[in-house]
Amino acid sequence: MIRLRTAVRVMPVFWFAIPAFLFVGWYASIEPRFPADGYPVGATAAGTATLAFVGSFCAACAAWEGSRLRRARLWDAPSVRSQATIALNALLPVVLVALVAVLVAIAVELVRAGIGLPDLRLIAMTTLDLVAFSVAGFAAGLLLPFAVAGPLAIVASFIWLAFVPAIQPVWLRHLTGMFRDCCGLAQDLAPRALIASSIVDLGIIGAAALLVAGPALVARRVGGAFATLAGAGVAGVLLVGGMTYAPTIPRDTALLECRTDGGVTICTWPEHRARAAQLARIVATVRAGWQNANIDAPSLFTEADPTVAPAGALAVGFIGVSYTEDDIIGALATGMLPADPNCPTGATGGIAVMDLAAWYAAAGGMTPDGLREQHGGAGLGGYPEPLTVVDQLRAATPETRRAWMSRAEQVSQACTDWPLDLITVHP
Amino acid sequence: MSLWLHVRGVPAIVGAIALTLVGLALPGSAVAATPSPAGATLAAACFLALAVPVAVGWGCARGDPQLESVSGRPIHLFDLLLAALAVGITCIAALAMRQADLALAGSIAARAVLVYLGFMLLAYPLAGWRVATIVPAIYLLAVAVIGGGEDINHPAWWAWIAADGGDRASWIVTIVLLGAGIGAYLTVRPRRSGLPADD
Repeated sequence: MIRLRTAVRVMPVFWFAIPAFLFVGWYASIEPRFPADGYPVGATAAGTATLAFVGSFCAACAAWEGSRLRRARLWDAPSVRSQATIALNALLPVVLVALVAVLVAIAVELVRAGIGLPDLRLIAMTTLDLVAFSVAGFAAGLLLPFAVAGPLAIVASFIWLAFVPAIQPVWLRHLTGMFRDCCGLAQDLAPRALIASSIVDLGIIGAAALLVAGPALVARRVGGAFATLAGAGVAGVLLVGGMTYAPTIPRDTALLECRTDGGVTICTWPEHRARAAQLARIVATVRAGWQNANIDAPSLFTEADPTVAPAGALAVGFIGVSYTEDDIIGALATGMLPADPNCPTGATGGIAVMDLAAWYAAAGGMTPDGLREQHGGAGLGGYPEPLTVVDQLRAATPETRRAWMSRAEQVSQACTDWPLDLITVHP
Repeated sequence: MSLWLHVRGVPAIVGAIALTLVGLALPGSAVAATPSPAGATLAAACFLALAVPVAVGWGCARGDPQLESVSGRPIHLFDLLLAALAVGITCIAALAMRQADLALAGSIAARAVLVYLGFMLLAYPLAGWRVATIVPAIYLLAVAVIGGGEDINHPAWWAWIAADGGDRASWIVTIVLLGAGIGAYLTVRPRRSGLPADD
């Protein structure tokens, strides 16, 4: 094992370690996707977004180490230690410093979210990513002059981590091992994405190992490396193909904490435990308001992902510790809205959704200021303002309200033109 | 002279120029993305444009520093001429392709090759050719990660490489940088390490 004093003297990864930690910490602090819900998985994933450039740093430093061995003709020279041991000695400090850099970012995100422990699956994935980048960079340094290997290591790892997520199909990003789109409070990290990225990382490591220490015949080395990489890529694609942009699955509903009060049950995630009583009170008030306004209100409200919520329950997400009472009423009103229709050329009934949202919020007890802020403004394309519709519904009979809600829900699913009088309030 | 051309790997540099120009002719070269929330929007052409400066840096790093230090010919100036020719040809060809509507990001790539050469020449006195090639890559990475400006279409002042190809100020800064790089190259020689060339 290389001595620390020697390592600090000769390894760039140590020269730039402190500036890298400071930069990564600062970058994490300006990350706009603030993990305000105190969810460790989301906060850890936000921290791993720094992999986009820490990966480049790691690969470039590893390329330098490979280049040193290449320039000194040490890699191919007879040696007591195996090539694997030599590579391990050169790469262990690189991986450790890069990992500490990402951990600094994760720590910053955890502090911002006000929570303690990170998600270990994401840290393990990050470690494997960094090992793959360092091995690939090391191989580039051994095979190419540093003048080429250095820029190549920086640019290739950056393109892999930052540009692949920007291209179609969206699920390609789940092969990169960086899961910055994970996770809302009702979601958990998808094991498929974790396994696919791990396979691709192992493919990169295997291909790099074959290139620098494979069969003597160059064609066999290159062919073997290509086959390894292609095999890993295909396996990864088979696992994540068809997923959405987010590497998520619904979170385990067994973690929900439910309370029943006055016939109304509300289930919240443990991260919202401190506000559960307040949420239950608001939900009860809103439900009573809806019943008075002749709106069919469910008796079960849950924060579970809509895809796993029990039938008949209202799935809502109370995102953000800074939510006001009006924000919570708004979230409940949004939860009542019909699902978006699957229209080939886009839905045409958006105005009905706006009117319904305003009506559910108003009937649920949103303050006049909140209504003006969230639903005020002119109606689109000559349609009446949502708050005008709300006033008309307040003055209407129960039968008129029910008929209007039924028609509005029907319009909200429209994919083609529909007659205007469908969403006007009339007896 | 032929030995110098051979050592500098001129065929590889010509190959890099050809590769860059062919890449620019592909529609994907104009694809732009904002890879980081705090970063600038970068065209793929900015990455493609690295090839020629890196090839030049590689070629110039192949020379034997001990041998060339006692050469009767001004190898130092030959290297600068080679860099200027390779980057100049790429720049002019990319601009011509833009004019002919063959490469939408031609002017962006043309400016980028000049910027990268400017940074390499500035870094040369401190680090030599071998390490100088990493400086443009670090600059590109910095622009992509934290080079965002007031909005998605306007990069920070120092990330002019991400500006529109017709942005006059960015071209002026590019010329100034290139001039400073040439000045630094001509006035300060790097310390010789005594190690063999890295080929």
